[in-house]
Amino acid sequence: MSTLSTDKTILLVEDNPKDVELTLRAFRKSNISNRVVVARDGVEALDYLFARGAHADRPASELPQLVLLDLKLPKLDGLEVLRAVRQDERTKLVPVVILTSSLEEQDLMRGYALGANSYVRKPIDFVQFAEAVKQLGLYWLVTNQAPPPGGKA
Amino acid sequence: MEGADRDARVVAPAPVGMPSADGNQRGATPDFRALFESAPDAYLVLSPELIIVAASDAYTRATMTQREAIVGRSLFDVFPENPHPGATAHRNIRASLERVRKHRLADVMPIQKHDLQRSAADGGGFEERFWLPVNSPVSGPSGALSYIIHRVEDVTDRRRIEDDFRLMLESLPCALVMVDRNGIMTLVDQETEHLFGYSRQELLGQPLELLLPEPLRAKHAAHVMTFFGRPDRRKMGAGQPLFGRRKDGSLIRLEIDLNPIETSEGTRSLASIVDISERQRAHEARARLAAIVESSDDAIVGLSLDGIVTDWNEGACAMFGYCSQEMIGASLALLVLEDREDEHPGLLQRLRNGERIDHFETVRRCKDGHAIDVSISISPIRDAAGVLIGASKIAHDITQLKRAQTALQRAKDDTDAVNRELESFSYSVAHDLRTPLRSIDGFSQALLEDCADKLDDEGRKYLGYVRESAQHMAHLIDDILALSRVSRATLSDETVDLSALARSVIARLSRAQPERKVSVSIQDGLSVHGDPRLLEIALGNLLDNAWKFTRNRSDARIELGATLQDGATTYFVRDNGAGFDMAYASKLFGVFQRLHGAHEFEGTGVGLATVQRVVHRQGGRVWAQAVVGAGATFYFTLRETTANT
Repeated sequence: MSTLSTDKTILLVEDNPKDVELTLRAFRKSNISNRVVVARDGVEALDYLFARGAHADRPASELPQLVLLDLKLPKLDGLEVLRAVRQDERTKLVPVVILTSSLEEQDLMRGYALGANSYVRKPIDFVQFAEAVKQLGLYWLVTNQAPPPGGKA
Repeated sequence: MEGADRDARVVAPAPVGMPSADGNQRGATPDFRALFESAPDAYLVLSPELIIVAASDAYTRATMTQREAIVGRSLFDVFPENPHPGATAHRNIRASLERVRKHRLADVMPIQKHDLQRSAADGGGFEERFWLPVNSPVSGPSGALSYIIHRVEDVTDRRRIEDDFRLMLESLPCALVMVDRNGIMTLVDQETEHLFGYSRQELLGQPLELLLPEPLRAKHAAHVMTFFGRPDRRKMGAGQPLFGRRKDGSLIRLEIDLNPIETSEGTRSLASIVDISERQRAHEARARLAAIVESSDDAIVGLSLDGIVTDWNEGACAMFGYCSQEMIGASLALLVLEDREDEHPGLLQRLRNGERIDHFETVRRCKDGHAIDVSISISPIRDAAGVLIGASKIAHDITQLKRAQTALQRAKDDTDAVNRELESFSYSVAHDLRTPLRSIDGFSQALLEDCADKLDDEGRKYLGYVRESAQHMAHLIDDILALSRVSRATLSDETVDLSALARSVIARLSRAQPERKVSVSIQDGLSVHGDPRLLEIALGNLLDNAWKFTRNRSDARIELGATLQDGATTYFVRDNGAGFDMAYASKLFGVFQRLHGAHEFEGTGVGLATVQRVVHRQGGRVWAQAVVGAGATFYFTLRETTANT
């Protein structure tokens, strides 16, 4: 098991700045101090992942260790982002956790069908929310072995 | 041959008045013996002691005997009785001869059955013969009886023909009654006995009125007079319904043909009687059916195999505007719209194949040109031999129905659209309303944590309230979404084990609150039909409530079972918890209705509304009974499946 390494990036795809702040606060309180990149809509998320647009100067081979993906997003919604990520050879293995308010069955089903690694509903109670974010971070950044960068399936 | 044997055998004296047979007096005295023996009829001459004295050739031929073998022997020795039981020839002939001896008068006997013994060479046994015997005395000069002439006529053939005729008559399907001029029955057949329930003995010699119902009896005598006054073949009753009366008093519908018959005893009327009750009933049934067909609002049309109209009822007139005179003989293609012309030959072909066509929906054109929606059923018509001869077509005007269906479909489309909107609204509610709540809760918590030193106790308490309210609202939203999901869910129909479902709910509750001590009793084998997920939601809510409202009791008890109420299986969840005041029972199942303050028991007031919606969607009913402080019982029924009814 690897130790909590701060060089691993988390991509947080979330349009609501308050939710962004709460999520960052939850990471802080769980002592997760990795770099968190925030994308505020679906297009920005894909730009980051594919190193294009505003993120064109970023080395495309460096992929985030974890993508936390909200579903309801401006421009391109979360499920469309997920589809694009899974269809692209470069990104298809990136761990993606859907982190959303929706408990609609069809969102769950489509999320998993498109290859989400986890589906977590954001609790209203901040104490519970912080706990959920902490567990997510520990699991995906520490417990889980990510696919090797540039590795071929 | 006869001439040669004759003299040798005759030992008895020659009959009186007959000269000696041994004279060659041709031309002088006639040869009476020769004349007698050649007589065309069968004669036997007997002595008063019944010894055979002479026999004519015709007699020996008829009895298959030889004269020399019988003359000199007793009549009864020569012709023994057939040992068949019931044979009476000997007795009757002896009695007749006795009468002749006594009264010296000829005795005409009725037909006698006196069978002839066959020689062993011919196979033995007896041959059936019927005879018509006449015995006549011959007196000597002193007046004493000297001979008896026994004349017989072989009527066997005639008797057989009569038998055949009788059998023929008896086997006719009609009852035959012969009536004389006085209206007395002189002959009836077996069918008459069957038909009227009388025996032959009860009928013969009785007036025909016996077989007629009371009102007809008086008039009948006059009818008999009329008939014999001008006897000819006719039908009785002159077209009026004719009834007969059976022995048991019941009436039967009859058809009677009268035929005058000339018999040796004068004119008779032979009535052939047929029971037409059955035919009449069939006729009436046909008439009734015809009336039904005529009075139907549906168009009922008879068709030949090539689509020509053969029958056209009032309903068809009203529906299509053509009267039957216009349509009978015309092609039904007249009603087919131009754009459906290809449809008609196909239907005709199916009709010719003997197919049934059920509820074929199409459009037909009326006489005034306007089109109507019709549902058509066509059935083949076959003759008695099963050969396809046409079809009956029933057309039902479904224009109104179609219109209603269209309206219904539009309404459904509208509803579906509203439902889709509702669905997307629910989705927004789930996502968008929760998001600010999370901020309210999250930043209140952040304040409590980060700025604790700047807040006094009151400030911390208020922030606590803010968080509680946000969380409560989140519950409300979740419950409302669950309720809306229950309403929108597509129902499946599966066998659901309610008992197992209840055990899993209780297990979940126990895990959440392991400190609770609750005595749970779940009846085994409660198997129902319904949607498993909806039933889980309903049962879950009821058990959640029971669990929640018993938390102040140390002897908490929760029970799930089933009883039979008004013939319907009724399930119940019973607890001994807080209960409620029945005065508010009507509010129990309303959305956001609560019978307990939030300080007593938390809740959103949506759970029982959800239960009710589930139960209604499953075709059942839900109600409750409770006593404050003593517990509540919630009852529900579910749609009974066909297997249970």
